[in-house]
Amino acid sequence: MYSKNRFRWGLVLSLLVGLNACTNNDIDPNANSSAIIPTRGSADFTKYVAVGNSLTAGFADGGLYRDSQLNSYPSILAGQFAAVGGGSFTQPLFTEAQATGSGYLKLIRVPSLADPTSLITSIGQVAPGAVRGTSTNGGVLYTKFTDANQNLGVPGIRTADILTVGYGSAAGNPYFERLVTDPSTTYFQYVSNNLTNATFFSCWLGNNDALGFATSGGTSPLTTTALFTTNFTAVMNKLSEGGRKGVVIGIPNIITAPYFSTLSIPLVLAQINLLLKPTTPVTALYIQTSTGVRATQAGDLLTLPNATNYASIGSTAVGTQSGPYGLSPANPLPNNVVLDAGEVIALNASIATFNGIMKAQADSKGVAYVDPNTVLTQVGAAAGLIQNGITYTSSFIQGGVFSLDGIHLTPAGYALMANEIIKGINAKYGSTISQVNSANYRRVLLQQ
Amino acid sequence: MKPNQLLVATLLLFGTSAAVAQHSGQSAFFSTIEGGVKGGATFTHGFTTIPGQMAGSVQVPNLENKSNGIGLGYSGGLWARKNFPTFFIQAEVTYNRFVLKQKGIITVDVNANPALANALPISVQPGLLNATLNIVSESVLQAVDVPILFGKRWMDGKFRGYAGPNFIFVQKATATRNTGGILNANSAVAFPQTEIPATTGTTNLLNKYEAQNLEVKDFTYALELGVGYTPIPCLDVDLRYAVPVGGVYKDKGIKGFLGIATISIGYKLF
Repeated sequence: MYSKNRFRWGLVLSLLVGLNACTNNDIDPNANSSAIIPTRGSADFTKYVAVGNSLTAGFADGGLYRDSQLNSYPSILAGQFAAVGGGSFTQPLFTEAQATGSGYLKLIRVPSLADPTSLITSIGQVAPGAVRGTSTNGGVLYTKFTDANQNLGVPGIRTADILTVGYGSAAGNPYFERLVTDPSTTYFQYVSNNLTNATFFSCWLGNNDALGFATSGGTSPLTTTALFTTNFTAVMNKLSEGGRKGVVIGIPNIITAPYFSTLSIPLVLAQINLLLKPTTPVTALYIQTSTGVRATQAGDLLTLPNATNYASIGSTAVGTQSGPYGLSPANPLPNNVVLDAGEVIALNASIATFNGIMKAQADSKGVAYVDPNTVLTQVGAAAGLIQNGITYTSSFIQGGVFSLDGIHLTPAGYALMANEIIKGINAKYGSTISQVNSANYRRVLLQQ
Repeated sequence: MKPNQLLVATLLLFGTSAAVAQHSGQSAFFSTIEGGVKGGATFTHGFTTIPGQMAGSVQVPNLENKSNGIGLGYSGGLWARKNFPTFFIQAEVTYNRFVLKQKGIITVDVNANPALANALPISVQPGLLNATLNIVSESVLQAVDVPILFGKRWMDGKFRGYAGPNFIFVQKATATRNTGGILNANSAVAFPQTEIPATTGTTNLLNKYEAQNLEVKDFTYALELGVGYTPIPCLDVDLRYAVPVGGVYKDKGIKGFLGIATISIGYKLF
């Protein structure tokens, strides 16, 4: 027998229709007699260049690999642009022989959501396939791709990093290092070099200026508003040079991602009470914040990668060892494993500021601005977002939108985002680019 | 009926009438030309084997759709008959509803059926999970039939036997399927056996995007044979059996048998 909490199979299966009713997800092109013919409007999609970070590169499941790259939103967009005069789109793909790229996480078993520890045993690691050596600081270096490139997404890059000399060196970011021949090339220069003849751009920077703060439990600093403004203005001046049109995408509301929402404090407390069976049930954890030790309160967030850390809660052998870990003010959870409510406020304020700067830049350059939270809010709602017979939610693993790292998107999630960007482009430039059918893009993949 | 189909049907009917008219000088027990209205019931049964095919990267095995009883429909329209000394020709235009009831069981990879794959909260690599599905279908075909029948009379003309082609112009074809079953367990991926609640969906079999390989032809023909009895001069009672030898599905790989029996009563207007 299996627990009803195991997975919501029964609920979702009620959407089932006949076996032979369809053997693919294609939609009858004649079903809507007023089918729109794609047109480019006032924009020119001849050569599209995408600027950004991991989301642009197609990072997913904690890694960058050939399949994830092929499902990047710029690749999806370029496919749709092709119907309105868009040309070929070159990405820095890992070769088929090195398809596993940086290595990534894979779902190998069906986890029981009632048992958080099964999440760990259900996720396996695929070994990297494109490591060429070790960097000076002990990290890895990946197989180079120094040809002309149109997907300039670099996982991990912050707006704060784009003018930094040495960011492409062996001591810098290995995802950028693989793209440049000269290690002193800045990201800004790399973008400039790849803008030759480009007619359209997308720019999705900024997430990492806030994300690093969030994933470190508020211990890594947020990018300052001044630096963000300077660097973002510089990149926008370059991208919009000569009146080039494009689209700017804002920063998602990070804390709604499964990375922060899966291990809720009530869920962890329930597990503790179940396992430790204290005489009076535990109702809060003790955490270290920047202003001192306190009991957890509404708005504090635990993070997915710290699951093993939280598994030690109650132990007197970890932390300060003076009292049960996380349950005594004398042995609180350290600041870096909890994003406390005060840090969440600071994070959200920063995201709002950055988004304001990006929207203002987009407006002043006369290019489209897309708020990614429009679709992510729908996905995050209790009922989820239903498209093409699939219910998309922000749940970990089974929500379909977020990949196994809990932050980056699945191919289906990137397809939903691509559709949101297409809507923004169509609205701004009067184009009629068609959206993709998200059902043709996989969600989290159960595999062996 | 599409305009070109209507034209063909009209030509068939009036072509026959013209042939009848050329021989109208001869006399018989019955008046040389008769005609009227008719109505009745259709009884359809059959089995179908839908050949296996690739659905994306997974193989779907043959689906054996067995007969699930006789489907009741209706038939109604006009008839005209020209009597010759030794035989008669009868032409009709009728509107018909044929109901085919079938059932089948099939085990397929979940990826073979997007509706099933989409209903799961995750995507699944082909080869890991399969589903055993019970499919009960009711296919409804609505068609204008134009039979041209050649026959002979016995018992002072009260008893008739006849055969001929029946030209079938399909107006509407839908399949309503009730599908349920189980997702089979796979302990290697900790997947428990899970019941798939039965659901019902309707597919337009004339739309190739909906029907896929089950797309139905919009024109076909049948071989029909029957007997008739005329207890009183103004009334015909007929029993017929037709087999659509022209094939129903566009996919020639679909094999099987389909038979349609019709019982009708005709009223002679002239």
